[in-house]
Amino acid sequence: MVKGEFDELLRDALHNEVKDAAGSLQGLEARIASELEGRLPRLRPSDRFRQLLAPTRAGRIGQLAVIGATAAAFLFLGVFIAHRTSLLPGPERLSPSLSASANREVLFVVPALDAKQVAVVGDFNGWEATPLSDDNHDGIWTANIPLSPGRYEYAFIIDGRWWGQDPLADEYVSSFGQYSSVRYVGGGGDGA
Amino acid sequence: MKENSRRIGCLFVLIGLLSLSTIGSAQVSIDHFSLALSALPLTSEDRILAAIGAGLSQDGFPAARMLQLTQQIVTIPGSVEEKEGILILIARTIEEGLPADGMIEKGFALASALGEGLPIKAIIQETLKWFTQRAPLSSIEYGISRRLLLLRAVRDLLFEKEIFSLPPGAPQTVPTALPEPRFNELLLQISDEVGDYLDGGGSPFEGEVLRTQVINRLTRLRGEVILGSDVTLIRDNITASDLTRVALAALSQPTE
Repeated sequence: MVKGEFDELLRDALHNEVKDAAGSLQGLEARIASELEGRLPRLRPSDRFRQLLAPTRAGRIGQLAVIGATAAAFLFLGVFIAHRTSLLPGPERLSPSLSASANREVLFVVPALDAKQVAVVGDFNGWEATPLSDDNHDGIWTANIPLSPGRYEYAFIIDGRWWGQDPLADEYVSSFGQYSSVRYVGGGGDGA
Repeated sequence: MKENSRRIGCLFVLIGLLSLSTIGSAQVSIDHFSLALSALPLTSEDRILAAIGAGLSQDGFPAARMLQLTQQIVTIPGSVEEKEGILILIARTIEEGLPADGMIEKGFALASALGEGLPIKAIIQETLKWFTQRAPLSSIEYGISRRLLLLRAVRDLLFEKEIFSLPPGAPQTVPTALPEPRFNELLLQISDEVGDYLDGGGSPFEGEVLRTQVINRLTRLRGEVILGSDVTLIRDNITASDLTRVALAALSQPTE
């Protein structure tokens, strides 16, 4: 075999090899990625969340504090708006609620950091205690009580002590030297 | 001999009196109350009966008078809620370990007002608040009397202004004749506001302040509890001096 013929045969053989291999190279990147994913440890949702945070522990704490404060501010704003919304003037009905009106969930909330027992008493429960709860132990005690439109006097009982000046109240009344809070549910407010 | 006969006579009289009182208290049992109360669909019947049962076991509990009140409450017109409220006040007195005779008499006064068609639910709630505030029993009883005086004084004031209550089903021929629930709501709110004002140390002579508070309260309730036209009716007809007169009447009259 002359050198020219050998070179030609070698080139054809290499050409065929490359042509065969080209088919198997298609999708190689995706296959490698898939293979690597199978070998890498699977991330839990909490790990993925952590990847979003700052790389250092101090940075992460700072980031979480900002997120927490923002959430608390939105929560407070939501409660405030919900409370105020219940006092907005509604359309005047032809027949007053002396007949029938839907109850509304009214939020009673009181901060009592070291309290062991907190309850609300008022003319919606015959002035007998309805307990408030603090499920996450942050010292903020809450209860949702369904009330029909009207005027309600109430006070909190914190570890057996009367606490009648709720900052969320619409007004206060006093009897026997003790204040009670008043809330209006439904109704008007912008002048008859 | 004569002295001995006298002593024996006194002894018999004493035994007779003791027997009578024993028979008297034995005549009223918890079954009588249970039977009387079975005519009402009460939500706190067990609590009321338990308190009356505790009262019956105490010395000096006016059982016959309590039974009389219970029977009266069952028969008078009025809402079950308000009737039950009167019984709860007496139950609360007994539960607190306080003598119930004064509260039973206040129960008669409240029942009488309810029988007249007066709305007493605000007075009942106010009294329950005073109990929870641990106010002295004598002050609570005085407070009930004063609130009843106010309720009647405000009703009379509304009548004087030709604001009337229509019987159920009667057509409204004039704007000042209101269906009973609307009239009673105004009566309740105005008298309760005057009562709160006085309890808070407000002067009856500051009629403008009192009137402002009354109108503010009605306005806040406007829409779903009180009709706007009823608020206007009060604003146009009730003056500061009217409310001063009502407050003074409640303060100066002897309580029931």
